[in-house]
Formats: sequence, structure tokens, C-alpha cells
Amino acid sequence: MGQIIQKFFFIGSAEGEVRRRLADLYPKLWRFALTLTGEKSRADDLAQATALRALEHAEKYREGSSLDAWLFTMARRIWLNDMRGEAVRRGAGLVPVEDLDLAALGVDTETNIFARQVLGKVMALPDQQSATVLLVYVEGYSYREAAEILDVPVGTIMSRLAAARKAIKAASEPERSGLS
Amino acid sequence: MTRTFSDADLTAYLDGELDLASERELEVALARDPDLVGRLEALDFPRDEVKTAFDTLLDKAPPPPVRPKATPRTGQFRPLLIAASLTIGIAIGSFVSSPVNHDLTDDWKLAVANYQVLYVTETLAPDDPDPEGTEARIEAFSETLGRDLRPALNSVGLTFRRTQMLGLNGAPLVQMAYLSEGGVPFAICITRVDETDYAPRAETLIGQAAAHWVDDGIGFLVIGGADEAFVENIARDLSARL
Repeated sequence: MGQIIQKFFFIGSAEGEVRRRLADLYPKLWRFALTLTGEKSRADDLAQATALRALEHAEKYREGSSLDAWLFTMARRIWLNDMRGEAVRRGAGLVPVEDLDLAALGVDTETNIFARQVLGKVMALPDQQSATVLLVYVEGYSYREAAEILDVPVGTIMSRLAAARKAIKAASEPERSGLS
Repeated sequence: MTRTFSDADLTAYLDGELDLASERELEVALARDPDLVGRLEALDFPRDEVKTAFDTLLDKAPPPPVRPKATPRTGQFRPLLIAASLTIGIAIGSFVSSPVNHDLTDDWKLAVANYQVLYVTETLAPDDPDPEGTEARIEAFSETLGRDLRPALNSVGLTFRRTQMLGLNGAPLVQMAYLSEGGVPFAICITRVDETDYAPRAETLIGQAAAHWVDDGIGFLVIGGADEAFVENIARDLSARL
């Protein structure tokens, strides 16, 4: 107990950074969780569990490194090690969602039609392709950084993005011509 | 010999990730090969539009978890409250997106669920239960809550591992921890509640199978694993004996 109380009152600066910035980064963490899980309630649970574990292990965060990447890596581990198996046992998670229920997310009809189209298509991509798209094309990570977060070779990132690009382009062309 | 370029190579080129030598080779090939240009165009789309689309999701995120206020309290449960706050790490009340709508009376169960989700087999495996110490603690905890908790030492399909007193918002909360035959951690938690009696109800809390009931001002919660029927069975058995 003494150690715990000491920890409570004398947190290091790295831990302090985790605690200070977690709330600001939470929407991005949740968005990443959404691309991993493909479903809102599971994304909510994954983001919560990741935040909990980040607070518990805040002393392991290396000050000055990317806190976003640290949280994303943690979320990916929790999803694959702890939660995905359960989702599969419950009959979900193995099959990629064909179309994310954007209405359930509150993405209303005022959102640009192309944005809705892109979201739906990216979220329907299988095998962590949507998480890869998010990391590289939205969060701006390099291939190598995305590979480290997802714990896959750089070649896998390349092939996932190639498949994702094909799907997004194919989906967006008819929509664009229809809009013009 | 002319090098062939895969879609992954073309993607890396579009993303500025191809090494310089390959990039030069590809640009030479593009100048000569209309089919290759067609393949490249089939992969090209504005990256910033994907970012714009995903940015619409940011304000759809649920509120971040908030750590419990560490307001000074008097009484025997203050140290326990601090420990529980650190362990639990997040507060309740932010689970607006859970499948079940929770109100404030559910807080203690969500706090337990957040704690329990951290448990793994190794959390409870290292030490054999100390029978004498366990008996003394259970008696003390039973006295604190005004309910004999000893029947919970034996639960269907579970092996008792340890018990500890936690605290939430200044109220005592007894945790009894178990392992199933498969090594899955389970917990039975008991605390005083201001609710009318109800029979065991099944619910999923933070991805874990759970069942809870209230009897004469005492709230009980069984939680662990993913087997809802297993947890319900334990709850039915214990609600009859506790």
C-alpha cells in the first residue's frame, strides 16, 4: 500500500504526460479502435480498456516518444490478445463488416456524401486494412511507423494499402461521376 | 531486363515511400508503358479526402474516462479508496455507449468490471489461499457488511483464490476472487446499495459476462469470462445460499 500511495503522490513526468494528454488524444484513440473492431460498442470498450491500461502502465511510457503511437500499439495488443477472441466467440469480429453503420455513429446526412462513401468503404476493408489506412493516410505515419504499431512487416503495410487504394478508388469513381 | 512493378510498388510510389532508385526506374517505365500508367491511375485518389472523411468521426467519440476525484475523506476506507482509484483508474458514468443504459446506481458494478478486466490467470495463480487468514478476513468482512459471506467460498465450477476489501466512494466493497477450471479469473463482489431487491440479472459489463442482484440492501455481482450461462448459474446458486 505504501508503494501505491507513493506512486499516487509522486508520479514521474512521463506518467504525468500520459495523464495530462490522454483526454485530448481519446477521440483519436477511439477512432483507431473503431477501425480495429469495426463496430461502435466494441470500439467504446477497446478505447476504455486501452485508456485504463495506459493509466495503469503510464510509467512505461518513454517521455518524448509519440504518445499517440504508444496508445495505438497498446490498443492493437489489447484487441488481438484480449478482446478479439471473445468477439469471435460471440459470433462477431471474424467477418469484416460490409458497411459500417454510420447512422449509429451519428454521421448524419449532412456529412458530405463522398466522405460517407469513403468511410463506409474503408471501414469495410478486411484484415486491419482500415487500421492501416487510418494510420498512414489519416494520422500521417510512415510505412515503417505503421508497421511497428501494427506489428507487421513493411511489405504487409504496402500490400494492405494497395488493396485499400483499389477499393477506395473503385468505390469513389462512380460516386464522383454521379455527383458531377 | 525490364523490372515489373507490383501494385504495392505503385502504392509506395504514390505515397512517396519508394526508394530513390526504384522511383527513378518506375518513372522511366511509366514514360514508356501506358498500361502501367493506367494501373497507377487506378490506385490514385486524394489522400486528404480520406483524412477529411475520418476527421468527421472525431466528434462522435464518447467522452474520455475520467479518474475518480481523490477528495479527502475521513474514515477507515480512505486508503482503500485511493488504492481502488489507482487500480480502477477510471471513473464510471462515461459509458454512455454501452449496450445497456446505466444510471448512477450501476456505478459500483462498472467500477468492478473495469477492475476485473485487468485480471489474468497469473493475477490469482501464484499463491495458495491462506485458509486461516481467509477465514479471519471473511468473518471481518461479513461483519462489516452485515451478511455472512462464508457460503461464497464454495461456488459451482470455481476455485476460491483470495478476498480483499476495496472501497468505492467511501463505501466498503468486498471482492472474492476465483479461478475457473480453465484458469479464467472470476470475481464475486458485494457492497451495500440503496436499491430495492431484485433477482439475478444477466448483463455484459465491459465485455465480460456478469450477473447481479440485490437482497435486503446488499448488492451482489458475479463477473468474469464470456460464458453468460456459467455466470448466471453461479449467480442463481449464490443468491440462494448467501
